Amino acid sequence: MQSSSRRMGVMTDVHRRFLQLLMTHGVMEEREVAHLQKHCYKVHDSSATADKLEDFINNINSVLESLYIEIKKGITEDDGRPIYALVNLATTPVSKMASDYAENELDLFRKALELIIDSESGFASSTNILNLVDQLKGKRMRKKEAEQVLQKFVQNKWLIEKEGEFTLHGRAILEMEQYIRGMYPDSVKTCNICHGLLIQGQSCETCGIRMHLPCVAKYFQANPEPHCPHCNDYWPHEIPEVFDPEKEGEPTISRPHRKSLRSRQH
Amino acid sequence: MCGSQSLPDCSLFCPRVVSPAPLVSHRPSPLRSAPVDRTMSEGNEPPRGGPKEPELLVLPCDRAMSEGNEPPGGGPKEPELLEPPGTEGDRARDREGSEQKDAPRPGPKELGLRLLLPERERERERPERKELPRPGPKELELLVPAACLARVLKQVEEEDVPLKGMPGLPGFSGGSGLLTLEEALNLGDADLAHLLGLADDEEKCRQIRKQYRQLIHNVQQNREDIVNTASDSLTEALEEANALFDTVSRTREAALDAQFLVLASDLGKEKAKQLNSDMSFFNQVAFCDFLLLFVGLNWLEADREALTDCDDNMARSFWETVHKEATCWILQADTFHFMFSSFKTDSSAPKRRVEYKRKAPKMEESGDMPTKLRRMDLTCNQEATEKEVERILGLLQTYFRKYPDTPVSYFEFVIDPTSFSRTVENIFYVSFIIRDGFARIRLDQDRLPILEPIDIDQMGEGSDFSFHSRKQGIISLSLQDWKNIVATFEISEAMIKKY
Repeated sequence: MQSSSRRMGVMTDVHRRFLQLLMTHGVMEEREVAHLQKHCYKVHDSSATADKLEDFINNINSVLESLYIEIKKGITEDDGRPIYALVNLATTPVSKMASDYAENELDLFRKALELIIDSESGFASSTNILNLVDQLKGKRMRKKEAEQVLQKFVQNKWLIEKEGEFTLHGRAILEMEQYIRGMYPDSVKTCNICHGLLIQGQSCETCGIRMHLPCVAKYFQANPEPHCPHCNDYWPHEIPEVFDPEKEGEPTISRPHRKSLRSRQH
Repeated sequence: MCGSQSLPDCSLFCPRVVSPAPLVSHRPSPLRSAPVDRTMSEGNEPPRGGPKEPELLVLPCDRAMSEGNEPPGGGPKEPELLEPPGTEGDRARDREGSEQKDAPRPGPKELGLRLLLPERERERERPERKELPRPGPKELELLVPAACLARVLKQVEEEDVPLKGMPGLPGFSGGSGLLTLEEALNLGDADLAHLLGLADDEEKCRQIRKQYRQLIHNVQQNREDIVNTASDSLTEALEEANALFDTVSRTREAALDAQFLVLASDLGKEKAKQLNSDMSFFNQVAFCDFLLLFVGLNWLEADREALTDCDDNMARSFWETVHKEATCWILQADTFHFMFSSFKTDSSAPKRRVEYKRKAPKMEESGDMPTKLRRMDLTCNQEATEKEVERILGLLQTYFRKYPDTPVSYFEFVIDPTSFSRTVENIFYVSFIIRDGFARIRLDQDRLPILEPIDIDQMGEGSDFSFHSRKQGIISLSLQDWKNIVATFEISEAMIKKY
């Protein structure tokens, strides 16, 4: 602690509550995170002025540094929403004892991860994943169970399912980036613009460079004739919209509440 | 009075007894039966002999002095007061045992050492043991002169003195245990020693029995407590019995132990019956009623229509109340869930990846191979055979069309000089052709088989067909035969081309 150059911050109950709630969710969008911060201040210390979200989170991160845990900020690959996730950074004997999932379930996740990284589009079909079920380490898993395990991963925000195909959730990308770069250095794809790990994205047909969808949106923003930055060829894909947080409605935390009220009126 | 009872006995049977006063037996003052003791001691005081009595019992006396209370009679050394720690009520017996050990100190006057076994038991345990039969006054006392005792014990130390015919020694209380006077007088010194040793044991056994009976009595007294409360008293009683059982060496005590165990197990059974086994019994209706009461809603009173109007608010308040109550019981903070480093990684995994990738393009290039394989494997054998047969039939018919009216040598047609297995397959397929009647096989003038075509018009003749179909032939070909044929006929290439 004394040798670290960064001064370790101080955590108050506001920070602690925030961290505990973030830990429960695992990953949250930026809007929700800001809302959560305000909520924590309201509960514990309504008189104090709220820190800026960035400073607030950096404060917490400096305390968590010694535990190799961090609140990382990232962007969802499909629509560019900023997200915050609490991730584990180091392999320790304690981390190996994690008991969220059984050995065969973790192996299934690992195989699905491999397929996703190898695939061209960043999506691995559920059929292909289920075909690997027989090669799993640990207790033999039936295909039916494997389907349920995959659904469990989706619920816990490790995978995203779209039309029967699975890809990595933003949370998984933030946490497993280190692992992926280490294990699959040859097959890993990177974005030409932000140089970050790329799972889903658009690629140029001639030169093969890839870009994240939000990166494409930002790069070709308001450009009527998009050209590939590398080979200058015409960029054939549809340019997505840049994500605008103001355009969204209220944060998703309160949305279910309203929905439930409406549904009661039969 | 016990004392008075003993007196006539001793005078009758023990002429050698010097002092009519019983020594030890009558002063078990520290015993539970205090009044009895006192009477005993009081009764015995007058006949007490001189100060020599205690001299026999020096050691125990010392102990007694340190621990015990002095009897009302109060002599300087009161061996009767002696109670070895932990054995209430058995001190007298213990003292007797120790007295016997102390015998090497002879007193100037011989004093009888009276083992008033039955009487003592009777006296001492009157208030405690009700189940034992009281020995009658006719019980004998075994009196051993002190000097004799000393000699005997020396012998015992020197050699192992076997017991001679001592019937019924175990269990002194009761008539069978006692020796008749004649027997007693006729006892040799050696026998006496053993008898005394046994008597020593007897004391211990009596102690044990007393303890067992005490334990049983206690448990019976506290039956209600043990069964109804969740205390450890039954376990403690069992542990006590366990400890006692370690000292048991005879069946009598073992029987008592068994009796205690029966009692304890009965109590255990009652306790077990009281266990609520209906753990999973959950009355949903009752729970719902309680829940509504708790929240403050009352279904029975309010109208149903009125309820639906303020549905939302009521529902919200319901959940809020339940939430507040439930949080007290479900105080669990979520833990940190992560995926990274939760599974072991193989270092060989990256290498495998590269190999797999290289294999993938290769497979795509040789596109013919998979299709060929697939055709062979996936289609069922039936189809493959038929197809082969058709193909070979086609070949045969082509040949016949090319060279009409020339039967082909069977061997030349069928044999493949490069592959024996292929030859066998060809024979197999040709047999189908023959069976179906598209060709026929017969021996020519050289007694070699030839294949002849059958015209289609000839096929119409049913009799011919049926006639032919009744004939069967088996062709066998060994590897050597095949090689010979290839050499003899000089077959250089197969007529039936491989597909």
